[in-house]
Amino acid sequence: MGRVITMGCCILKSTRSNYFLRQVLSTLAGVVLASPVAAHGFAQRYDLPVPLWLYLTGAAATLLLSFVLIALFMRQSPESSTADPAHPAQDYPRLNLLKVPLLRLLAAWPLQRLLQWATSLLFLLVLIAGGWGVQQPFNNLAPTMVWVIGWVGLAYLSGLLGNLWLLINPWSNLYLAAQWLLQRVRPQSRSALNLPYPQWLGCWPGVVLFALFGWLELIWPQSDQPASIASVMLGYSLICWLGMALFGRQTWLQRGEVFSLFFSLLARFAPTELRQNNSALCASCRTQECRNASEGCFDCPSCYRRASSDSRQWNVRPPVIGLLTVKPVSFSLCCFVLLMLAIVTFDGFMATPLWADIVQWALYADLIRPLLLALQPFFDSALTLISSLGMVLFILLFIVAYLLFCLLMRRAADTDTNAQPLRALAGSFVLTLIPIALAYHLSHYLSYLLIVGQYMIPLLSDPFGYGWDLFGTGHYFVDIGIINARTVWITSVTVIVIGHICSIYLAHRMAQRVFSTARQVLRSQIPMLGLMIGYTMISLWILAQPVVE
Amino acid sequence: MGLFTGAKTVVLAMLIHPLVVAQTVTPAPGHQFELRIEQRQLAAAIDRSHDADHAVSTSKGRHKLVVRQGELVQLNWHSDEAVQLHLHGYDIELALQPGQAAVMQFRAHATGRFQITSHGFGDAHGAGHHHGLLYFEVHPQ
Repeated sequence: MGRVITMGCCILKSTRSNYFLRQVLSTLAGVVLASPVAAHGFAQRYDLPVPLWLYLTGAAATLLLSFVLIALFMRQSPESSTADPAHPAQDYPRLNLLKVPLLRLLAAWPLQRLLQWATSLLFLLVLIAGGWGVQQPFNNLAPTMVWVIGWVGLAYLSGLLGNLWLLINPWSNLYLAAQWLLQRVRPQSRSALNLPYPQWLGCWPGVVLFALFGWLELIWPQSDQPASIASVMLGYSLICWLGMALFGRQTWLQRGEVFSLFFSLLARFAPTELRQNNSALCASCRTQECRNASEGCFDCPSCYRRASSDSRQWNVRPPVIGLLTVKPVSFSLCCFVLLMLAIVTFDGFMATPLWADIVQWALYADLIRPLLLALQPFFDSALTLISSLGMVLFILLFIVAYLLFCLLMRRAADTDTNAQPLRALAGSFVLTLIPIALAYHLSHYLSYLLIVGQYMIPLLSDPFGYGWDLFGTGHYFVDIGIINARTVWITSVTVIVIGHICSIYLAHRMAQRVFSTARQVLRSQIPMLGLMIGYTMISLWILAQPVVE
Repeated sequence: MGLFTGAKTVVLAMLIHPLVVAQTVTPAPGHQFELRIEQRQLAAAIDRSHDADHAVSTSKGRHKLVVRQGELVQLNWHSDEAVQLHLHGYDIELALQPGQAAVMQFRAHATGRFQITSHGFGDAHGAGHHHGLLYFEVHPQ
């Protein structure tokens, strides 16, 4: 990569000599394409492209099942499916796990505390390893722990099991510990300013930080360097703790803490929920997203924490159902969800031959050269710059496309513009895209998690790369054959098709809530179906592309 | 919700099925390739495993070697310059000297798409830059 970076700089600096520029550009293009492009954090992917027959089968299944579902919905009248119109999200079977003695023991506070301490210590260990350990991506705990386990792995857990992050979030836990300590040392001092959070700010801090995180993950050339990771973690910690000190911990967790937002959105898909049945707590709940149920609320950490132990429930619920919103989510959260989709898709897209062609085109194109030259001082290579521009465009494309389809949906439903402002419509339907985002995440990272995740085994014995062997696993050799390509293919395509079905189902349920007549419900879903089929096809197409490095 | 539980069983069935297949891999006959590096590029790639020699397929100027999982693979290398080769994933390294043939031999136990890169042309110590030479693909049986 070194050569690419330096050459990229000198090329863009030579504004005057056009001949020279072209000469060097032609060499550079070859170098760029021949060099490994580090997509997603660090480490390579060895995925074989999904074969054509499976790609076509997946595409056909997507189309076929979409229309089967629509046909099924057509037989349904809009009223029959929502038993309780005031609290429509309530009519699903639940099983309280806290009634099972063994599980109650598991959820008891000593075990929770133990987990919280363990994960907080692990967080500090990663910081120390990153800062002072051997600076080699695979011999240092930080890169694997952050990108593979913390980011990809926890997303799997959140989507498939439940919101574990709520319990183990180190920024939250360390802040609480510091608060407790401060109370001990100086009982009179105030530990937080608890300023009123400006309403207009919404989740925008979270959205901006998430976009930056996405850039660090996909494009930042230093993303595999332990010390760089540690300094970014430290910087982010300071932002977090500052936000918590200014506006209160809970407010910041639901407005600016990227990972709380990300994992809790995925966990709404999950088959478990936290619920409390004391309505009085909800009345005094300061968070906007507290979703009042007929009695109490669910998936609201603030109320759950304050609830007494006999009003708490830890339920198993049907998956997907938690994504049905009672009131539209804010426009900022809307953008956050679209960012989730855009970032993970861009990761896949950056490994396709099409992207390599786009990069090559961008290097030569006269059209965008002035822009590249203007932005060049802020980036360390032409490749980084082009990728960053591509990512910004990709994100904008996703947001614009979604809003456009919301407009089309309103058109198709033929409703009054005032009755359904675009913002509300976008906020009502955006969570229906979560299953698609989760499905793509699961399939895109499956082999990555299983293969690169194995580095944790030697790293736990030797977190700093000093040659230790604490648990006797220091010399474990990563097995690249742990998962067969066919297993990856079939699982990926199946998961994407299932995610697609979940999304169509959710969108239809939401339409039943938002629109008043059966005709409107059905008509509104035609554009939405188009959007979802389009996105699912893109996901499948990316899987069918050979990974280019 | 009946629809979803149905779909999950399908996933489970699909998950289990390929695992069963993977365990019954029988050792397949060998697969031999002749690879020649000239002027820091892969100049020729010939498949020697069939009755007649085949040129290896290319896509966008990049050669691609395709074998089946479980096959015994032999890559015979020739170069006009000293160079270090690295087969990623399998993590096999080979130092080539000009005019001397050298061989990578291994069982393709893991499926995937692996890059073969060259390091440090003309420099026996392996310094220098990564340069993608070709892709090596192991397809499932």
